[in-house]
Amino acid sequence: MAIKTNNIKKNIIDQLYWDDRVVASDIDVNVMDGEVELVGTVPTYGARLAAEADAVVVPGVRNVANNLNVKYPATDVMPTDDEITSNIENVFNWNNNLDLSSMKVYTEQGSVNLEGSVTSIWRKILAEDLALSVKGVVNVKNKLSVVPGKDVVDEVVAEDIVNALDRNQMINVEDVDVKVDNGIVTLTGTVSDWHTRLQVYNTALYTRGVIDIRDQLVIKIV
Amino acid sequence: MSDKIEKILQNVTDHLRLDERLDASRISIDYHEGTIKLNGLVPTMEARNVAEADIVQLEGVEQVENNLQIEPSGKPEIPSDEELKKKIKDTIYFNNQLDYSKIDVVVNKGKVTLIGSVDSYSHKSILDELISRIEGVVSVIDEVSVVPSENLTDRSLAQEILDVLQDNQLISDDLKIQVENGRVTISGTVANWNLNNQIYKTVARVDGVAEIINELIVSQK
Repeated sequence: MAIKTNNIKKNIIDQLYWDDRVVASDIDVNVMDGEVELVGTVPTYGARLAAEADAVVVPGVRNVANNLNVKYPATDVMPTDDEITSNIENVFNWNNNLDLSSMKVYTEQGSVNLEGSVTSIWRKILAEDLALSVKGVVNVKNKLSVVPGKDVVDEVVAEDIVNALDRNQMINVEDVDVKVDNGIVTLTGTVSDWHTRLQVYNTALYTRGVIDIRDQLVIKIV
Repeated sequence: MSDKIEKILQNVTDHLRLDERLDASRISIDYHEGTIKLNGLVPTMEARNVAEADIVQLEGVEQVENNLQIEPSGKPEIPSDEELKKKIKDTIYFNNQLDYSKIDVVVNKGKVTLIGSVDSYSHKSILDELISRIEGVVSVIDEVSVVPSENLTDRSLAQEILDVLQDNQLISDDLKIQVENGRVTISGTVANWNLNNQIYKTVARVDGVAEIINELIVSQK
């Protein structure tokens, strides 16, 4: 069933209008064969991600190219780059999941660079999420490397993930394949909808020893 | 204890142990007729929420009774009330979505009360999430009111919510939305907790929503 381009575009625009994190009138939506492009401005980096998340769940969407620019309202008093860096460092310090001593933060014209290392992939993502919610941040370049603290055995990681998926009553573990190579997890197979896909991804994300995830799951509507 | 119950307890224990975000060493579990009881201690409110969210999806778990108490691990030192209040206020100030000038914070022995207003329901959720991550926070009483900037009639807000749920592939035959003065009541049945959460989060982001009463029933058919 091919979903008409006009419907996809209308549905995405509707999504953006009702989402209070995003100012829909500043965003242009281009759709061709299920390929979506978002162009325009958003008030924060978080809003940039929210717009993309809104578009991705719409039926018929194959891919979203996010070309939105972050432009804070002219009335906002913007912190300096040093203030942004210091604020992010405070936020990291206060979060008991991150160890600031192995990380480095610096900011150039609102663009934040994260360097150094963390022990797991979800900490890398957490650091980026925390950084992008700070006032004045226009972009986050996440160059954190993931170095697990202890010896990691690929087979054990794969088994842990598969067992966790099996315990989850929402997920059909027979339809999902998990491969782990030097801590990099590749997920293939099928899930019934976007929400289940997220569940599978998150299960892998929070498993010890995972350095990166390649999500190649396909949504197959039964 | 039957084999089946042993298996359920084992699954819950394994699941908590293998979630890297959690230090499950101070958590103990009990099972009674489909309900898993979480007892013991965790260092933050966020950990308390993570533990509960982790196990609601597991086979054999029908309900979760979360009795986890917050006890900061003490490393570094447990902050004083003044230090905690400053941390919370700074966290709100740094955040690019919240207006710190409209939110007040009172801290008493780690118990936090939030007063004031935000302009949308999703901002209220962000506020709760931010505070729950801070070590030293033992409990949160959220008395922040939502004063939406959008002024929709109840009927058009209800219709908008239904449209949004439709667009997000979350609509079902018996799902019902009632709106009264911006207060939204969601009722009906859903097949699992994940859908319950998705529906709640999606409604929470709609402009004009001031409060949500979630009466969804999770029931596998």
